[in-house]
Amino acid sequence: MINEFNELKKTAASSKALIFYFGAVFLFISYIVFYQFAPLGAPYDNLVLNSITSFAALIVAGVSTAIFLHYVPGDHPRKIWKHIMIACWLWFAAEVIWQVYAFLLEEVPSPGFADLGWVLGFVFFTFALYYQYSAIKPAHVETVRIYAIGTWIVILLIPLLLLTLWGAFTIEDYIDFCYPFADLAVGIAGLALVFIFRGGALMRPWIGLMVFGISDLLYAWAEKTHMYAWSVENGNILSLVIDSSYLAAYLILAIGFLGHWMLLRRGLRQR
Amino acid sequence: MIVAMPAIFSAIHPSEEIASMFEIQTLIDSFHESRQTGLVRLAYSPTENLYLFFKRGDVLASSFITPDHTQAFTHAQWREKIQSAGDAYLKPIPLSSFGLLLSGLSMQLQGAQAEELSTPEKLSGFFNSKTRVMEPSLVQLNWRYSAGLVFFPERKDTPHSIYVSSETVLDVDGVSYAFDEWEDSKCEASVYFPDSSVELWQEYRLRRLFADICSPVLARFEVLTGHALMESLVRLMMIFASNHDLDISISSRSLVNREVFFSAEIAASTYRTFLSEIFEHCSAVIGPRLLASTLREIVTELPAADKDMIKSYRLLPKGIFYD
Repeated sequence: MINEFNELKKTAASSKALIFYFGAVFLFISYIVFYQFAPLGAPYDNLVLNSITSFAALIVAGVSTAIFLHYVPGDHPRKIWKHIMIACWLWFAAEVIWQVYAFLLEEVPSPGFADLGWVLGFVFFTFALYYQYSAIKPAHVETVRIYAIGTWIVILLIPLLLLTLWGAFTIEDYIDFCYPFADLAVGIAGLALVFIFRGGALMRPWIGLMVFGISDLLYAWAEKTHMYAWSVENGNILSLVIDSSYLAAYLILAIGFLGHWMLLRRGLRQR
Repeated sequence: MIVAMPAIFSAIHPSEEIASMFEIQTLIDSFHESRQTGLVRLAYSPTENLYLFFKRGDVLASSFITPDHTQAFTHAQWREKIQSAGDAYLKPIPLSSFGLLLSGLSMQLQGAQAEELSTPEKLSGFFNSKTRVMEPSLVQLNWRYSAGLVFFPERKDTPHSIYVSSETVLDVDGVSYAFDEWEDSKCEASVYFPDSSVELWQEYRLRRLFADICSPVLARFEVLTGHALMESLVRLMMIFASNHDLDISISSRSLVNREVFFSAEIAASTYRTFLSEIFEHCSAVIGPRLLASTLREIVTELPAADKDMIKSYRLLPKGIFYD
């Protein structure tokens, strides 16, 4: 813990990082204000809220691109960050598409192009995780590959089997049902990486992914149990927690990526 | 034919001229000023030699060798010997640090019987038949006026050889071409294997272990973090080495160790400090847990004797778990 705290202190000491942290806090507070008090009225409050989320996704995609460009061809982490970068841009595209649908149609079609972005994003994150684990366990690349493929089979098959058994299979339900499993898988993979890199700077980028998994899983649970719709209708705090945790996940992912980018830029410090 | 082996580089060539005390002192000063690494042999008689081992211009160790005994001299003793013994046949032998280590090692080794070889072809046969794959060995060669050392590391790594004649000093990786062409006289060859009682064998093994631990850690660090952070680590280690007056660097992902200590304890302590610094930086990036597991993987692959050595010399810093 001392290592982590010292590292955080060093990172926070940079003026660029401080600006970024304040920016992230500002975005988060603005989100809560617009969510709770809706000062502009429909549909503009939703537009602002969705724009804040899309903006956070844009920052994540931008920083991941900067990290990717920092690596030279031949660097193993370049492979990891290439896939993270593509995944982040796909998620950003998905956020924008979803936002446009929400603004123009109010009811977002499902499945839609936004889902395509999110699902493909998960695929590219899987590749990134695969390359990261391959670097950690070079002697067990085959095992890592089997785990990655196995996880995807589970993610795709379990919802299919369950929905078929219940006789409620539709594409919309299937995709909705796949998300929690994909979130869980990414969350666990992220958590494991945070555990492996614990105390080291390399754990930072993966913290956000872990939070993403948790946040998305929370949303999927609330949606499936109709708690989310109930909460929105009754102005309950649950929907605020779930929606703001989704934004928080993007912001934490961005902060983690930024920390990594700064490490690459400044290099290791003398003790 | 079996014969007794003379001390290495002890033969006095007819062209060698006797040097005065002033000339000896001038040579020592010039070694110091140019921060030269190498060996100075002072022959007071064909069987009485004083060897001064210089590391970057300073006398690291000295040995006085007679047919009866080999005696390590302190700084005061070799100064006193030079002052009192007067003129000597003086031979400066510039060497690499590893060459110096091998020369020192050859002087600490005793007991091997020499075999007389008549042609270069027999010498290569001698190398093949007498050295072992799993164990390092040092072959000492003596001709009438020249001498050589060939070090065969374990695991068929590149050998290292030294050849010293009246005109030539060769200190090269591989088996020197000089050993293929000799015609002047018969060659006396003897082979030595590690003996834990010999301090410089221990130093060699520590040197080897240092590289065996360091290189895979660096390689793993680069795979995990990329070229930029590796370069950053290389720069920091260069500063660290310079601050500690160490000639150890990292080049092309591997370790370049130009250090020699003539003491296993000092070598272990230096390597421990260097490794500690590397681990500290690696740990800040990849985390202590992954670093410890990487080290465990590396140590697990090592032979039992190396593991014992790591433990007995506490080569890995405190806090890093290993079995």
